[in-house]
Amino acid sequence: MVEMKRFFLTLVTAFLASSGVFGAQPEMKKITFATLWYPQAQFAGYYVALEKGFYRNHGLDVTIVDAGPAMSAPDYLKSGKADFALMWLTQGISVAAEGVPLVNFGQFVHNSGMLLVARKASGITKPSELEGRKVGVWPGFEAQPRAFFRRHGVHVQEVPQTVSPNIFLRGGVDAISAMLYDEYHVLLMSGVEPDDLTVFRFSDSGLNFPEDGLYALSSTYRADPAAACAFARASVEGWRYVFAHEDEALAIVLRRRKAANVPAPRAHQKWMMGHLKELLESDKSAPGVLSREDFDATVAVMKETGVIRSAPSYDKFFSGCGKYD
Amino acid sequence: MIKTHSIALKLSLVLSAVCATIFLSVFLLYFGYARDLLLRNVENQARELLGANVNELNSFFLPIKASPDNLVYFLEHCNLERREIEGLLASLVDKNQNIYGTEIAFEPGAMDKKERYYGLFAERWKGGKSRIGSLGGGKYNYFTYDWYQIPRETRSPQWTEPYIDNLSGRVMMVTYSRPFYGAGKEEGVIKGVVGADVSIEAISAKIASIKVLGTGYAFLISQNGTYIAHPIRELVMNETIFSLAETKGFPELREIGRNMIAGKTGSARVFNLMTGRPAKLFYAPVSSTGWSLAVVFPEEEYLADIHKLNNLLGVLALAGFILMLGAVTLLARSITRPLAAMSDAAGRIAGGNLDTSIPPVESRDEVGLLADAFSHMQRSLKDYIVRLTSETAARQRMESELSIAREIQFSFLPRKLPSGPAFELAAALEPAKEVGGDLYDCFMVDERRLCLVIGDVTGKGVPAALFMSVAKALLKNAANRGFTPDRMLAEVNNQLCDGNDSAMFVTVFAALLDTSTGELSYASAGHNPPVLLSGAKSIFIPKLPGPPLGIRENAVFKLSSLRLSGGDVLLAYTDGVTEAMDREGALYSDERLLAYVSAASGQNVSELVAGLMKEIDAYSKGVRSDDTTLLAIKFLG
Repeated sequence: MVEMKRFFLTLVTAFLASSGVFGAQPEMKKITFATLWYPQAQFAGYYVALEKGFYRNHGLDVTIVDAGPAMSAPDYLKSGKADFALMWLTQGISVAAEGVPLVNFGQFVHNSGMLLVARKASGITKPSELEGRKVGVWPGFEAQPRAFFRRHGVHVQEVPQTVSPNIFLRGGVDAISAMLYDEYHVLLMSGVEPDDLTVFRFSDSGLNFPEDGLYALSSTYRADPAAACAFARASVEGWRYVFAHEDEALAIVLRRRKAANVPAPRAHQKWMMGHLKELLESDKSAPGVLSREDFDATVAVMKETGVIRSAPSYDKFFSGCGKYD
Repeated sequence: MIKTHSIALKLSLVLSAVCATIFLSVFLLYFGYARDLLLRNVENQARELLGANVNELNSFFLPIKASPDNLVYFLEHCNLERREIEGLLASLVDKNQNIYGTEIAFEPGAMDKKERYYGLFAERWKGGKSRIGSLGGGKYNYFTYDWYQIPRETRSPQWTEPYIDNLSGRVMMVTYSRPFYGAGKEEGVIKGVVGADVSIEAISAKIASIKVLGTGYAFLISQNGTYIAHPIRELVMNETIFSLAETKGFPELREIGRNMIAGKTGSARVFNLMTGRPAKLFYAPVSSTGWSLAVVFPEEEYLADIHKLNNLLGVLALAGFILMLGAVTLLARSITRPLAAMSDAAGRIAGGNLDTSIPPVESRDEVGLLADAFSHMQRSLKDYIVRLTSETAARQRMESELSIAREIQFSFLPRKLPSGPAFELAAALEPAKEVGGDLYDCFMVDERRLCLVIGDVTGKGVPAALFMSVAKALLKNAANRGFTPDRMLAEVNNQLCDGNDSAMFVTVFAALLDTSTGELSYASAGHNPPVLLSGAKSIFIPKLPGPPLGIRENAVFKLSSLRLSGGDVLLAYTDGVTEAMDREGALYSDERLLAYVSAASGQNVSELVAGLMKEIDAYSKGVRSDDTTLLAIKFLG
């Protein structure tokens, strides 16, 4: 009898535990998320969502991995080493064009912060003067620069650009790609005066491509779309927290940079966070939504510049998570 | 306000102000000069310190640069095998303790046509010995690293910015790297890059060993302005001098940074990052690396000497100041003490105590002279007072004598004039201030005859009064003996001449009136003839010869007579009337007398006498130099 009783008790306990009736933790879904680059304020919202437990609140056990020169965000996604990844729209379209089906489930940055920067002293004051020059271009981010060169009819010598703008500072290239919120400020913080520089904004040449967005392989997304949207929502909460608590967010970013053995200049990360705020808040369409027009315009330029040959359909490419509140 | 204060205070204030001004000017001049001198001194010191340490750094970095340079020679001229390259890399690490690691990386296919990545490295390992490894691949894409890419693209040797290499022991370092080229057909084609690493720790140790005064420090920045060595470890690799300028809101620092990375030598006033206090920054380029070395001299330290001196000077100045104030106060007191004592004495003297002793002053300066003058004044004052006292006593004596004389004079004048139905009488005598010797007398000799006498004694005072009284008594006596006026005068003349030692004399007019007939007999001893008023006409009665009484013994006097009608008035007077003077010294004169008397016809004699006396008084404005006597008789018939 006693044996029977004990058996039932065990059974009931096991059942209750698995159903969560006892208030035990529901099973957390493990997610690996790859950012675009080394830790920086550009990704503050995701770090904060992780550290403040926003992902956990949405039932997600998230690990954030850094992309870098050795392994890009698309590489992470394609290799399955990350479930979700932060990528630019051009990267996402390129991956889809390669025949890897993937889904954008949240477009956060709708404007382009990308620039081309040259020294006035090198004789470059307008796009045509880039003819024949060495220009630093980030591998995987060639779409905008190439469209820019094509539109201005110049032929440049592309040099794969890496982590720092040092190659430009030491005269290895005549112009480099730069983000307004990153490399441009690094140049200023290396003693270059804004007046010394010629700056071409891609958005001024009709190349205002959306940038940071959340991606997953179609298969991953289809298996659990709720998890993807939970991730997107928690990330939005993260960003909101960042802009309400900038100092705390900055400290979190600097901590991650140190852990990654990259320089952690506070002034620069603060500058970046300020500009990210502008980019995220100057939302030309609904937050999180990739508009069909933006998608089509980007695809058209990518085809025109030969970055891709065929394009995915917008409906298969984008699957929004509705409104964020 | 200063006016109300003592000389001592005024002196102190003025002298202190002047001294303070002088001292301050001298101090400021001196301070500016000394400061300049110290600054120049610090500049020289800084230049020497920078020069020595730049040399030291160059001799540290030049051999490190030489290693890849030498390797490149072998790589370009010899066909080295992997093992030989590894040996060379290791030997460089083993031979130069300052090198942390060395590496060679080849362009894709340059070493092994099949390999995209081909790289080798040697690094310092436990126990100081080197170990060999290979680099390149999916995890270490050396083509994207500054140490490889920048020399490749610029085709020139480069020092990287400080970084942490993920390959090795995650050590913070900088790398000197340079490209090497192919030979023969491939001359000028880049085959790869050779580098040598130096740990930031080793560089920091060198910079930290630079002693700048007590709390100063040195720091080193790269071509980008990145901190390579700084006492604040947090800045190293993370911050540039420009980002610090932005964070600290100190735009001057950005300008300094631009000069530093431009390879300039210079100085600027900044803040000591360690203490937040002002400091002087000096910088110079490190030619072997293209970096810039700076030394920070804390102002409070290099100005410590001048501050110490300032304090000393301040104490000295204060002491001097107090000493001066004391001296001035003492000096002022030595002047003002006798002055105050003298002023005290003067007060007492003014209060009447002439015997107050003047405080002794020994000095022969102005104060001494003043004291002398003061005691001289006191003596003079004393003498004057003594003289004044005796003079006052004399005057008092004289005045009492005069009043005695006046009493004598008045006591001998008739108290009551005789009266009768046939005549009216009136008389008045106004003595001068210093009693003269006028006299008059009227008395009945018998029932019918009235005797009238008027006289004027020469001289003044008691003797004159006495002489007058004697003369009057003698005249009355002579009249009572029944003498005629001429005999009266002759008799009294002889009596007065007898024993008249004082040589005094008296003029006299004497008359006898027969009151029943109006017959007037009269004689004169040198006296003014009286005025006769008859009707409205007045004349002087004829003058008779005869000297004043008391001059010549046995003198003869003439008798004359006239008959008064009813209503006629005879007015006798002394020379006090006609010789009365106004302010200009003009005499009243006979004419004025006659005119007055004429105008007074019809008045009774009392009115005439009183009116004329008033007139004389008014004429001489009350100042009488001689007795004035009037005697008037009106015959009624």
